Amino acid sequence: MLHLLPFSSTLVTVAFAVAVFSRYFRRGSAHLLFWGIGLALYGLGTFSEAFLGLAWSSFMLRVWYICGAMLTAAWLGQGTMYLLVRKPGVVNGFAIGLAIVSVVAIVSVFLAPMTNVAYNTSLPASVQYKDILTRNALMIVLTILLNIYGTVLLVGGALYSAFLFWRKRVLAHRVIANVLIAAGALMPASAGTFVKLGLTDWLYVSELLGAILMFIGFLQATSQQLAKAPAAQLAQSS
Amino acid sequence: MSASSDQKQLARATSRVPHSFFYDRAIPAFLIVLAVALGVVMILAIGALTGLVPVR
Repeated sequence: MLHLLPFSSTLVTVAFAVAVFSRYFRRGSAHLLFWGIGLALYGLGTFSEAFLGLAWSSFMLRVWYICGAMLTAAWLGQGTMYLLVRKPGVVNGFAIGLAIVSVVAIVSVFLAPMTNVAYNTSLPASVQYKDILTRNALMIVLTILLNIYGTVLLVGGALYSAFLFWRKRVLAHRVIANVLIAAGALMPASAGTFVKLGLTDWLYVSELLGAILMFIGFLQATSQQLAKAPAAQLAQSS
Repeated sequence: MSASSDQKQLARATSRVPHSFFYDRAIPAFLIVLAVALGVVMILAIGALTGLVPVR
């Protein structure tokens, strides 16, 4: 039953992506566009993982590797860079670099040969892919670099934002929101450790919890609850 | 003092977070835990990249 959990993760992630994209179409901020793309990749990754729990497909395994293992964290992290770094030239340069690296990653995964090892649908893709998908050195290095890049930006950026708001003692809901986003982003980032420890079921749970925590964090960060408080008190004092 | 600066001061004063155990102790402790967790994940990833942590 647990191997169907990625379908739940997909539903949460799709709802999250819709919320982010609708905000992007209202406001037009680049960070929302990159977060939306990152969440769409997250959703594709969990969907392909769920699909592979039901049936084997070499195409879906490649999609799972590209979205689930390589690109999601990096695109989400790029969104955080747009939010925190106020030098458009620098951020755009990194974004172009990420786009080029992403194309290289996609091409290398689709060109990678597959072995004849039988796929077991009752086991997670992350446990078996190394025996089926023949990864070259470029794919391995890109996977690690993209995940380092994305995780440092996404988790580090959320922790940095939380610390700034906390130190100034303002907008407590944004402190909590950023803590939730950092914790949620760390969940899938540490999923590989769960697999190595043999806790493959926790992998699915961590993906779902990660999506839920980040979604709650995003809703909390974009709520106007405390921003209204001073206005209400101003109205009372006038 | 102008009305707008009055409003700014009032807004600033009313938005300050009051002291509490949760805000003053629990949140920074959680931030430190998350920062350490991020550090561990990064060390493992860099270890994998440099060959110190085996990658199949």
